[in-house]
Amino acid sequence: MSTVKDIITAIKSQKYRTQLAISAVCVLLGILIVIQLRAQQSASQALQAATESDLTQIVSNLNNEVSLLKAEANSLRLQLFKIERLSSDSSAVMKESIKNLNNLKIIAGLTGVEGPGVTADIEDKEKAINSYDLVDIITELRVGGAEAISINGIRIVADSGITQDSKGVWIDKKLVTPPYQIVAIGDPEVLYETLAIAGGIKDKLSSLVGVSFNITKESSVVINARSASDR
Amino acid sequence: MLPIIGLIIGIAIGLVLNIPIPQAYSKYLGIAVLAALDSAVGGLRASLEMKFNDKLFFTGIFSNTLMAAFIVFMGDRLGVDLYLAAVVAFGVRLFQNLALVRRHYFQKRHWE
Repeated sequence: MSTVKDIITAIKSQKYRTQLAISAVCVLLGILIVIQLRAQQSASQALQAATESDLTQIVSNLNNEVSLLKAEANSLRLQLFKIERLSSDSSAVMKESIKNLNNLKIIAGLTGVEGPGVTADIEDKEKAINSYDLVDIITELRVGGAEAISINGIRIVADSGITQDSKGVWIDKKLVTPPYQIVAIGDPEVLYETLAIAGGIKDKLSSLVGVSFNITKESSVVINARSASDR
Repeated sequence: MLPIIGLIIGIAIGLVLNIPIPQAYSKYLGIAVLAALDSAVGGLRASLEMKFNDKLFFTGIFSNTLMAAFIVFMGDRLGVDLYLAAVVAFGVRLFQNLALVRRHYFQKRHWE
């Protein structure tokens, strides 16, 4: 019993507490040293223990891997490039289609058009101008690249009919009477020249009795869509 | 005598448990080893000078280890080998304490 008491008093004494504290740290130190030595050893051992041929093998394996990865990167880059081109292609196609659609709408007279063009005012006091003359004018304008044409506010499209009977000139189902105002959208210079060229339609019609033919270039004219009642 | 037994027990525990440590943390572990060694020698010196205080001792271990770990971490982040600062600090203290411990032993022998 006295030995136990001795131990207890010894533990309680400052000297042993010191010894115990330092010992505890030493335990920790031992554990840490072993772990660290192991970690360092395993890190350096892996390559150091390998023979020269093994190292060569490892290097060539790594080189193979690198070249494989490079090839993969290249193929992926190519794929990316293809996809990018495809997407830009499809958007270009879409743009082109929309442009075509708009052009076709203009030609079919489904939309109103605004832009530069010419206005031809034709005074015809003696009713000397007939439907054929109007068709000639329209033909000339179309040759000159007119995108949209109207006569007295009636849109002229591909299936517009210009006819004549005893009452006068009919465009589709509407009777048109002089003075005629023909509006065309296109390049003003070209359209002007098309009509006013020497020996052209203007000269031909102006020679008729009671006809005056005035062409003006316009920086901006408006032609409305073909109305349902015109058809 | 007891500290040496403790060291042997620690080594035995380390060998038995075989704790794997990722390569990235081996720097931290090295600093921890240094901190522990510094604390052990520092404690020995304090005990020989009859100035040992266990609260001071244990808080010293933890604060030193944490500070050292923080310095290593900051060094890694900043791209500076800051852990060298901890290594130098611990190393210098280690040698100083060792010298004092040695002197103490010889002086004690001398006085006897």
